[in-house]
Amino acid sequence: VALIDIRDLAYNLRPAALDDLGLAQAISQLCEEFSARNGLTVDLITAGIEGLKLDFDTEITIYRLIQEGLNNALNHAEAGLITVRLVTSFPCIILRLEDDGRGFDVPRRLAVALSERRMGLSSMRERVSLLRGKMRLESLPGKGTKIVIEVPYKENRP
Amino acid sequence: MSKKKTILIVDDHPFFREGLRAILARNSGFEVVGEAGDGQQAIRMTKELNPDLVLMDISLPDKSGIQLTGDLRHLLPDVNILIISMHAKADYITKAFQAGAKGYLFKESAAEALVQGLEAVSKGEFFLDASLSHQVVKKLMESPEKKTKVSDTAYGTLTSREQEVMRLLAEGISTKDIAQNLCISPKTVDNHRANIMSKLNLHSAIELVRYSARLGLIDVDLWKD
Repeated sequence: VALIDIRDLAYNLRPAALDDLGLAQAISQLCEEFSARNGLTVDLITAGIEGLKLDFDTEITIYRLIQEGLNNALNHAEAGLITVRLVTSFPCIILRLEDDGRGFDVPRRLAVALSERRMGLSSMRERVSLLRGKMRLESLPGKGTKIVIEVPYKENRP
Repeated sequence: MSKKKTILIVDDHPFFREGLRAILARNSGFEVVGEAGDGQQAIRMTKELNPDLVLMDISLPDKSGIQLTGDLRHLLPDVNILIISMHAKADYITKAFQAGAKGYLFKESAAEALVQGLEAVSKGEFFLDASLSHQVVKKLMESPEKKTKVSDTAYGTLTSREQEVMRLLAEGISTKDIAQNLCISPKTVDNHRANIMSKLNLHSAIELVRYSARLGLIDVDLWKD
């Protein structure tokens, strides 16, 4: 339980870039640094995010989901190209994470992850459901992995 | 001699403000007329004091100095803002200038370059700390294929309703069904469609689908089957 508390705490720590630069720019910085550090390509497009005032939980969760997705693609999938799309489509924000890595057999992977008590995917799903969103996962061995997440946001533009 | 330029200092650390004051006290061209510790205070004091220059930190307790730069420029279009930050990354620098800052100074070199920076921005010139130019040039030299950040600004001009309509159109839903789905008339759907196409500079249904796929609004794989 203590371990989970610490994980929660770490999850909710707010990177300074979020406050200083806003979500779109913070994600762009995250992807850029990740790409430079790990020598793989991150293809990112954000749309409709700039100038959007999201609540604290939604913003930080989106940031962490992308971080988690990038790390999964690197560590488990050995991907060379990761595609990230973050786009608002009222009343939802759509987040797509795709990689060209090894892929996996979804039910087996989830069972293993559960037995090893690994964060990764199940934690992502949990975070998404806390925001009343939904997450879809598609993967096949040799075919890469695709995660599509939709979370609702409140209207605040004219 | 010309009139002294008035300065408002915005930084949440009293010691740092004190340091800036001390440096400026030795220079007869400038006069510190106020100090603010957060964004709200800064806005209030800018209105009150109408300073020529603002020395601005980026990390403030209530809002980012970059946001605040935009706010102050809006409030007082003639004010020249010099950012003083501990952040040396090109992203921060770009964002600050985009928000309307005239200069950017790295905190570590504030002691040497402060007066030089203030003199430049008070004449309306841009100023970038020499110790940061390495970062900025490196960024400019990055090959385009390694560039990871793309932000689609045209899409951001769509209203919430237009976003809803756009996604349904991209999914191939008919005008009639979209109208029913959103409880609006088919004519209104057509109006939305026309506005979307014009805002995004699109000319056909297929272009709209391609655009949507590129942004990740729709699943591309659905079109492979």
